Amino acid sequence: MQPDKITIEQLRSGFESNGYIAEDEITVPVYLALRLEKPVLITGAPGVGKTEIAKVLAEVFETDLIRLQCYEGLDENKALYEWNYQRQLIKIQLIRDSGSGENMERDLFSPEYLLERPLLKAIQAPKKAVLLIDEIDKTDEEFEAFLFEVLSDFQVSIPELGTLKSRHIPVVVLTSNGERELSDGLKRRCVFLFIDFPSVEKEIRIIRVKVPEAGERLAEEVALAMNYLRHNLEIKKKPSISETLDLTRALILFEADRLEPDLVKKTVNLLLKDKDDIDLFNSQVGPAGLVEIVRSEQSKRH
Amino acid sequence: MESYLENNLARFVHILRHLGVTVSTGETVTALKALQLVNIMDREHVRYALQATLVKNHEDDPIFDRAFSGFFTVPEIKRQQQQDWQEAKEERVRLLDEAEQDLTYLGEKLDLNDEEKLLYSQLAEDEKKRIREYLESSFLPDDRHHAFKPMLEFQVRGSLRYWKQRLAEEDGLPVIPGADVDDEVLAAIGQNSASEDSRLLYEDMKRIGDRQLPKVINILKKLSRKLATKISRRYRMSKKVVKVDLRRSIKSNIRYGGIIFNLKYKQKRIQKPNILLMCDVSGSMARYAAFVIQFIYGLSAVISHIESFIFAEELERVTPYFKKIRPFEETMVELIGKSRIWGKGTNFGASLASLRTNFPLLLTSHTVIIVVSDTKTLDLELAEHELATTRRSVKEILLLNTLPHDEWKDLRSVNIFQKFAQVYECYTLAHLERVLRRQFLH
Repeated sequence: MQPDKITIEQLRSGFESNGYIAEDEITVPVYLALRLEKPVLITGAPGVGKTEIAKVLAEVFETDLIRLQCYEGLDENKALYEWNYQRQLIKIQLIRDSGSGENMERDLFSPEYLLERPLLKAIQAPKKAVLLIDEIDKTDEEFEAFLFEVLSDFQVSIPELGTLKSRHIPVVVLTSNGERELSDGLKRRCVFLFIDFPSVEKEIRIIRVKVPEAGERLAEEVALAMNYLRHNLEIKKKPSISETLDLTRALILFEADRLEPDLVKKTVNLLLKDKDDIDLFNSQVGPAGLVEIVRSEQSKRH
Repeated sequence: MESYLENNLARFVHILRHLGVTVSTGETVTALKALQLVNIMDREHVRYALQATLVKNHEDDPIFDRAFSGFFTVPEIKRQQQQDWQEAKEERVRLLDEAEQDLTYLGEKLDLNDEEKLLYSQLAEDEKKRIREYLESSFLPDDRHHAFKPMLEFQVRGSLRYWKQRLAEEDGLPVIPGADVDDEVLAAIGQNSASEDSRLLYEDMKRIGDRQLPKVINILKKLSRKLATKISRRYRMSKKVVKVDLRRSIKSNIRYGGIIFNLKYKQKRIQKPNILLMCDVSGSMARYAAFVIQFIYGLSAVISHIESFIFAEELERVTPYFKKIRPFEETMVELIGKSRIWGKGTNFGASLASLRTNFPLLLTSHTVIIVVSDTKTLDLELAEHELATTRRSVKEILLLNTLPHDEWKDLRSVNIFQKFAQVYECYTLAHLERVLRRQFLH
């Protein structure tokens, strides 16, 4: 399947067959990014499934996922390419010892001594690859400016080798947790997708797909509990989908088929990762209160 | 059909821009291409396509939703919008006529602008009558009428400005029918009420009730966390845009017999700004001050090098209050309890002079001073002099002005501030967010 020829239906079924539950609000922007051959910039709270989209796309197109994990201080050498300086020095020593120095300079700056980093790898890939630039908000503005140059032309100039053009424009997925405001220049070049926390219905579907051992009732109760915590408590770090799945798996380990106050008490550390949040939960709702709310919501749904 | 699509898209982009969303021409072209790739008859697909290509900040999503619902609506509602807009326009013309007829001096119309005339039309009948009677009873017995008319106009304007402020304090600004909006969709969007969260963002901070405080506090916490990440971000040595440091390279490679195996690089040090906050806590600013202090509280929890001051008649340093780790409410109670200036009048010049005299080491070429104030101050000359002097010793002065932009032109103090500081309108959380995003979060 070619990314630039895909249809919305094909993408939707590709997501589904790889266990990623996506509705039109996710499918349409990703489809447009693929068809327009533009990077897709995905933002949202940690754990809502941003990185997962790149992984699933690599599966759908049966291609390599090339990942560039961003961090403070990341620079072109780590992202694009670097000459293998130490290897070049050893080569110089060897040539000096053997006394044959012809064409030495040309040999030293050949692809053999080039260390390809993720961006160059994606540009040089023999097949259209998926390039995941994860947590772009952790880098600084200079790197961002450099990045959007690469992403505009998909070519790289290496003074010693010349300009390397991409064989195939890679599928580019950028993710951001919103720690820092990204530049307008970068945002303008991308198709934008914000992934919000899922609705109760969607979360039930996600639980059923990712943790098939969980029964219908348990999945519903967990989804309702999560929905309540996210929208009714002023907590610092709202539990995301990954926390939902951790909780469900923990409940399965306890052989639970529904939420009970003592189970909530035992597993609250899987949901809330901040002491202030746990204190707030205990003082305002508490395990018994949460179960009561969930049961009442459940009865309204049926 | 194609041209129909292009025209509609251009108009929709115009509406988004009018509502404050930045959309470039390139993005509009991408949106057009995107529309050609989705099923144009599927409303949701069109919505997601436009949203993904035109709106690049999640904070702008509520505005986009309102614009989309207002623009892409069923023909019946569109017709209703057109009709409402037409009626509002006619009503506006009628009110303007009525005000013009009422506000005359010896049969001559007073020279007032449309906003002033419409404001008059919104007053209670008693107030209107009082102004009319004042105009009727004011005349000079000789032929100096023409010289007297501008003075009367000045007085009527002053009275209307007073009523504008008073109405705003009591029940929000009066609704001016069909205000200067040149588009029926924009008029309809303006009337649609937004969700509570986005309303809170655009609400004047002084009108936010105690009930909504937890939500506001959360918004402020998020903002201060974002800003803190940016300011406290550490930079380490990298090989980017740097020069080889020959001395250090030779020194560290002596162990390899003089072969330079590991290169060492020079890099310019990145200087982080030193932030100095000055918050006006005079009577008119007390409510804003509570929010700004909440914001400083969040910021100080994660950054150590922020200096905070409050000022009214004089200056007080409040940095130590934020160094102790304890709940915000306690900090606030202690701060207000111990402060000698909370709720008093403003003397910005004296406060700035006190800052220069008592804390000269804080004013360096790396210092950014952020002042939160409505610029209303005693002794404007002193304020001007002090601003000019302080400006020379710091990197930048930013003024977050809690007065709406349209009131700036009437105030000399704002003009003076504008000479020495970048002045931003900042009376809502959305303003605060936008200023910080522009200034610090890039």
